[in-house]
Amino acid sequence: MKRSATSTGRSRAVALVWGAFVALVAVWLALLAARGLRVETSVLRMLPVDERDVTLHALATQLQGRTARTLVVLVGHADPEQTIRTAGEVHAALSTSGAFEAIEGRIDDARSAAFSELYFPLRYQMLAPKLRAELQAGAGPEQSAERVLDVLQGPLSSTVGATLERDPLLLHFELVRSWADGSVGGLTGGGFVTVADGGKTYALLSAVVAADPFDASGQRQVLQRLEEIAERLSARGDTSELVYSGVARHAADARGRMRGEMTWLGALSTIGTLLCTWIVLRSGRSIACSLLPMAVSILAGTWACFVVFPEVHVLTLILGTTLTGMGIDYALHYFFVHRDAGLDWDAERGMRAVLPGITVGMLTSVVGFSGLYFTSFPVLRQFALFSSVGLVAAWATVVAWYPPLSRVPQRGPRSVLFARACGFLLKLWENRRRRRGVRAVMLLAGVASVAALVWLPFEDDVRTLHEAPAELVDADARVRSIAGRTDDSRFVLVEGPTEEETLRNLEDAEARLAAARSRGALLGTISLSPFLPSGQRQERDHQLLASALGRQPEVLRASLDAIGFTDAAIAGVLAGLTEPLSTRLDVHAFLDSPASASLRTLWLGSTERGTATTILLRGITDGSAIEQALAGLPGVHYVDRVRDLSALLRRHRLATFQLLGCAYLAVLAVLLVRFGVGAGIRVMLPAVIAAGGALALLSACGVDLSVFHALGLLLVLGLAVDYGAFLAESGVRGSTTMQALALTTATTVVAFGAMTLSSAPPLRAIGSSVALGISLALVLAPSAWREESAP
Amino acid sequence: MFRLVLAMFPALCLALPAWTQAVPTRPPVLEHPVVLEKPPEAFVLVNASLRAADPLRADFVEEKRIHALKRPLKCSGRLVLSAKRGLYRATVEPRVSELVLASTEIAQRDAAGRIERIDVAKQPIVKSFVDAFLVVLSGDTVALGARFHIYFSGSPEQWTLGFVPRQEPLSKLIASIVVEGRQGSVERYVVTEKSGDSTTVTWTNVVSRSPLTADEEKRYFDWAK
Repeated sequence: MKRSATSTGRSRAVALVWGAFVALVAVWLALLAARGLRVETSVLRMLPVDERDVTLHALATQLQGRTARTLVVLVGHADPEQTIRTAGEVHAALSTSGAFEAIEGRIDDARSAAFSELYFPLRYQMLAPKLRAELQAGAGPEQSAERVLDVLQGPLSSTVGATLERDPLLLHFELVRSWADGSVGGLTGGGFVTVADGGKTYALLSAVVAADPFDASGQRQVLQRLEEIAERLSARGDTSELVYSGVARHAADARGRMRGEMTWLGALSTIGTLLCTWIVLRSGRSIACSLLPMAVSILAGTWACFVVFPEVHVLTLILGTTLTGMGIDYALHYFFVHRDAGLDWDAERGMRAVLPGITVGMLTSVVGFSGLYFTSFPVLRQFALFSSVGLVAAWATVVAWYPPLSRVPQRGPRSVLFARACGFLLKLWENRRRRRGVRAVMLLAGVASVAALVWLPFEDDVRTLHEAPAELVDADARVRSIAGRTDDSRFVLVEGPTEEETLRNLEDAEARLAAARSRGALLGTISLSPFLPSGQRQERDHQLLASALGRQPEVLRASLDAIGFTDAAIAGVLAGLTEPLSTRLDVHAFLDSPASASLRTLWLGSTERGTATTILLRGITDGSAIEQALAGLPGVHYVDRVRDLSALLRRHRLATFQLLGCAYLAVLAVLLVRFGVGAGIRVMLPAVIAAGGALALLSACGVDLSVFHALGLLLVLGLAVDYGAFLAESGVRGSTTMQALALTTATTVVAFGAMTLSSAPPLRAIGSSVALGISLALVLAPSAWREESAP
Repeated sequence: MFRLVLAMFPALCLALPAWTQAVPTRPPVLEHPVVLEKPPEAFVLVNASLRAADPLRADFVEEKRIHALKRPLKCSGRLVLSAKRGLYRATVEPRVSELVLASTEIAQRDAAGRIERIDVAKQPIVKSFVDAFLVVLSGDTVALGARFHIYFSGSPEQWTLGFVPRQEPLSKLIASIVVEGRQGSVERYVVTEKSGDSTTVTWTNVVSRSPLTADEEKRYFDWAK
């Protein structure tokens, strides 16, 4: 009696300590939530870093991060004047909404002036490509004078009048004109850039989102403002079209869908699990108690992830929530003991009976899932932490709280039907296992499963991992088509040990791309090169001008005089041609100028190897021709994110299979030691056949298999081997063990089966492979059972 | 997506420096505004005769006064104005060259046959110039009223039309356009810029209402496509 009282007091103390810890975790998580939890929804963020070139990966990620904060807004109307009017209203509304850091797309006089201030003084060292080519081909003062005369007597003369006296050779004018050739739209009244498309004129605006694009409240604010603007226009009968596209919109959509899915998947999984438990145990108290480990494990897993990782992927939360829901398994073992004890029930003694089993189960699961922490998939590392901490928390909750909560012996009906079904399955195998044919079929199935794992076709295209609603995909395509057919996933990264080297490499790459463009491989490029030439190019341009025009001052003077230029203007030209360069435009001067505001993002800054910039590609028709054109250039890398990520997925899928193979071999080794060769193989076979069979069945049903199906098999292995081992160990208690396993399987299948209804392909993949694999494992597991042969 | 925005940048650069220049003198016709809801009868008749004159062929002499030049730039040649195809202008003196202005394209061809094209869609400032020029001589009062404040003086026999742009970017560069004529025929066309620079085009030997032959369309306009 004294011992019992001591034991009860101790268990109460343990319960209190654990309760205090859970409360601490809850408060901590609440504080983290108050500061804002960063939930990642981008499919790219769950993929591994490209380990072949970390610097390149970082640069590509940096570029995409900048892209993520920009929302492109198009305002279109059949009447160009209406477009400008509505664009003005939209611009003003966006500017005052508070949801955006900056709105680009309207050029005021101050921006124009900044542009002139930066570039006009550089006219003797920055030549238009066409002019450079003409001078290199031998054009002299007479040809230059003819060119000037053509412009002055042509339709563009009004645009040069103001600068003519200071730039008689129209060097700055030609440079500006060359930039216009590479532009998508044109500057119109009101300072807007417009593009004509499908009978409408569109004004292009871009809004830099003030908040993190993955921040929920920021997303809501951004999209609400845009919807309000659209509603306002429509309410007063403005038929202008408002199209917008950007990561924030996708993130908000993904977040909305994922939040919905987390709710209903979690609810479905919980209800299903509780229903299974009710059918078997028929105890309201057990049902209520079984919620505790599930709730605590989700709380602890979420807390651990947000403490360790700066941002957590939504897939981690869904997958982790589903898996830690399996924390109910520990509770089930306890409930079965509780039920079987009848009136002779002692809670502490009951706990002591199940503690070794659930502790070993918890440890093996944690060790198994911890292995995922060492993979290169960020989402799997997060999942490993979530599930490990969650399972420990579920185990601790059962151990600490169940004895004080279940002092009363359990009474109530048992599910006879369930017990009979389990017994039937066990006997079915018992009657057939001695037949040689069955053994041979099992062995053959095992070999076929291994073959299936090796030879089944897999889809490694990264695009299959993300499914966006058609409405968003259409808006993206429309914006991309109107605003210049830019490609978000294919671009060029250019590096160099110094800023000057980087700019020279950029010029080399641009020259190759110009050749590829003339062959029709792409429509055009967007880079800093035309706006920020290398120091070397500036010097060469200056020298070219000086040698082509400055060496014949009398001829130049006569040619310009014939047009009618004043002596002062001609003297200014001669001085500009002969004076040595006093300043060169460099990266810092460029970035510091307000004129570069829209282009700064192309300069990627410092890297481990020096500095880097990027070239964006428009209207790509032949990616491989572009890659070929750039081959061999130092510091120049053609990036095809879809191709590279797909290749990365393939590499990691193969690595996952290797991991899977090693894991299965290690498990087999343990089983052989524990059970001997024959029984060891019998225990192993259900897991192997379940894994291969699940994939083969999915493939036969037309499902494209991905790396996430393979990852699901790691979970199948962990669970299915347990089934065989438990049954092999159970001997005469086979029927009870089978019931426990069947209930466990039912809860697992419910949890993972619910995931097959998700809109996220990775979740569907893991859900379907685990649900199918585990179901197969349960059906095959009794093949390992021997009533007389418990070791 | 930010790259879409970057794509616009080169276009923005078309905002060339615009240092303050002398204020041009105001032509007398600008003292006679036209209220389009109640236009003077003579104005209506002049526009009707301009509409009926299409297409026009004429010899021209252009004199351009640019403050940066110590003497006017002069050139002369032949022009064809068609409501359907746009303007064809062949300069003969001092240098041979051809120009086609249409609402979608501008093309220049030199004596050696080299053609330079300007994509008007990418240069809205240029497009507004072209459209303005084509509209001013079209007699289309609705289109004129949308783009310009309109002025008129004189009679159907001897008239002066004045135009002041309403909208940017034209209004930033052009102070006024004045067209002088006799009956359905244009005699002089003066564009005065805000900078004080001006262009005066004098038309002679005007032939109107004689449709372009297929051969003429090909010779004047088709090379520019």
